[in-house]
Amino acid sequence: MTEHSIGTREEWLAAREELLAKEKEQTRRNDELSRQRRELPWVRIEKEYSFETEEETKTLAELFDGRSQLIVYQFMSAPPTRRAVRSARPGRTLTTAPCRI
Amino acid sequence: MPHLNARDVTFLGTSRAPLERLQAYKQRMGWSLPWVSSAGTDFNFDFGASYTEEELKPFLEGGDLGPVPELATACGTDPAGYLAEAPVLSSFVLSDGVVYHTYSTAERGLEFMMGFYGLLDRAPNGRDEGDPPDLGTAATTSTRRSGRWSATSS
Repeated sequence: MTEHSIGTREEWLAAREELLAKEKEQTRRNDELSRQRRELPWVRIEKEYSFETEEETKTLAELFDGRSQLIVYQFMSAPPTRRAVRSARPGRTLTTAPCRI
Repeated sequence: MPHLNARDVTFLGTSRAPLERLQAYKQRMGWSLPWVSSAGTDFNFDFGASYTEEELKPFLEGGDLGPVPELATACGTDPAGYLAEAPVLSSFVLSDGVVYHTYSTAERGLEFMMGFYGLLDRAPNGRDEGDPPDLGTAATTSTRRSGRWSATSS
């Protein structure tokens, strides 16, 4: 026998509608949070970074590739070190794999 | 990706490993993500994605490492190796030829990237990581030194 509460369709619907109101509230709060995220002050990048790409060495500005916005996912692959053991376990997604590859 | 590009956004990955290693791994995994190497630059350090041994020392010598040793072993490295790299998402804007940093997020602030979490949150048993989520169980929220990145963490 399940330990979870069991209800009628009517009871489910009433509870679902109550939850739906909260979900909608959360959605609107997320919109507001996104707006505030975009209002953060911009910080000028003074340092000259260079990146090795499939085409050539590029600056940060060149990584924009002709567009005005750039989102970079910096993830975990360090250069090989004495300590590192090659590892890339199958089934792990990007953010679950803080491994050296 | 076309959706992002259509909205004037370029999206790519950066890692500190040399480009040839990234390309080999990308091919092996069948990824199409544009992925560039920031090897030899401070880029990943400056945005909190990589830590030097010096920065990690106080934490590693501070006693209880929680689930870190276990997670490190699972990843084929040691705690220092495990903690040296963490995922961070950062946004930049190019305006009149000048690049500005606008946003960064890490830890649970990256959950939106993992679409399966949204589905699990709607499954009868949820994420099955304990309530609140246990770090060792989740293992998806990268382990951070306490007090670090409070501005970019969720």
